[in-house]
Amino acid sequence: MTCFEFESHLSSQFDAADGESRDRHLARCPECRIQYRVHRVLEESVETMPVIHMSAEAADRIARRIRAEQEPMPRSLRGVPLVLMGAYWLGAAAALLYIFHSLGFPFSSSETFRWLVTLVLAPLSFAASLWAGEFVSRAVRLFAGSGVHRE
Amino acid sequence: MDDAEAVARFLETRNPEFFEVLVHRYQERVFRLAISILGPGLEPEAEEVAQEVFLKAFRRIHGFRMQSSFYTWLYRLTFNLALDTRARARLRLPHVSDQVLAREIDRSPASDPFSTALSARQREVVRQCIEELPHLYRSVLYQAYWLGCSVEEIALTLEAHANTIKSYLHRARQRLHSLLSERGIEGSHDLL
Repeated sequence: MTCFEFESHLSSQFDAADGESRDRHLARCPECRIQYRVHRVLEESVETMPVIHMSAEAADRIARRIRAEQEPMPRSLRGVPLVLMGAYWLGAAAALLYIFHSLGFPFSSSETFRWLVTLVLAPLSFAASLWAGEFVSRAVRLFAGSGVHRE
Repeated sequence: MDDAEAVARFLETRNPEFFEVLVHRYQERVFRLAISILGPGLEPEAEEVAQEVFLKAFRRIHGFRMQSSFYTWLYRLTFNLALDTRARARLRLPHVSDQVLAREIDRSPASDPFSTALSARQREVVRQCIEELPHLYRSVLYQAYWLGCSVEEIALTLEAHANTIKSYLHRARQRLHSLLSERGIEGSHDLL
C-alpha cells in the first residue's frame, strides 16, 4: 500500500481485507501513522455528537419568509400614484424643515446658525424616515405573510 | 430546470416558485456549510444563517449576472454570514475551563469514572483544538467526521476539487496533531 492509497482509504473506510496491508504500511510510514492516529481520535471524539440535518421547520420558515417578501404592498398603499407619493415625501421634507427652523436652537439665536443646523438635520431626518418606512413596510409584509401557508 | 433557467424565469415572471426550486436544491448544502463553520451547539444559528442567505439572495438576485454559478454566489454569502455569526455567537458562549470540566466529570455517575473522565476530557480537548484551526480546515473536518459527508460531497459544498479536499483533510489532521501534542494529549492518553 502506498501513502496515496492509504489516504484514499482514510477518506472513505478501510474494509477488513485492507487491514493487514494498512498495518504493514503504518509500521514503516511515520507520516501516515500520525494521520491514522488523528483520524481515530477524530472518529472517537465525534461519535457521541448527534447527526445534524436542517429541520423541516427551518426549511418551511425559509419558504414562508420568501413568500412574505413577495407579498404586495399593504392595501392602503396600493394604487397610490407615484406623483402623489412624491408629493407626500416632499411635503414631509418641507414640514421637517419648518419644524427644525421654528424650534430654534438653544445655544444660539443667530438666524444663520439656525438655518445651518436645519440644513444638516433635515436631510438626516428625511433619510431616517425613509429607512423607517422601509422597515415598517417589510414588517407589515412579513406579518401579513407569516400566518398564511400556501402550497 | 437548471440554475440559470430558474433564475431567468424568476426574474422574468417574479413567480417565487422558480426561486423556491433553487432553495430546495441548495438549502441542505447551505445549512451544512454554515454548521461546519459555526460548529456543534450552534445548530439554531446555522438555520438562521441559511434563512438569511436565501433572503439576501432573493433581495439581490436582480444584480446577479450569472458570471459565476448560482451556488458559488450562495457559497460566498453563506461563508461570510456564518463567520460573522460565529464571531458573535462565540462571545455569548461561556468558556469552560479544563478544571471545571474535570470537576463536572468527577460528579457524574458512571460505572467506570476514570475511563469516562478520560474520554470526556479527551473529546473536549479535541473540540477545543478543532476550534483553533483555520476556518477551511475546521469546516472540512466537521463535514467529514461529524456530518459524515464523503470527500465528493465536501467538494460540492466547498466548491473545490476532491483532491483539494483530501489535501485540506491531510493538512487539517497534521495541524490538529500539533495542537493535541501541545496540549499534552500524546503522553497522558496514549492516543497519538
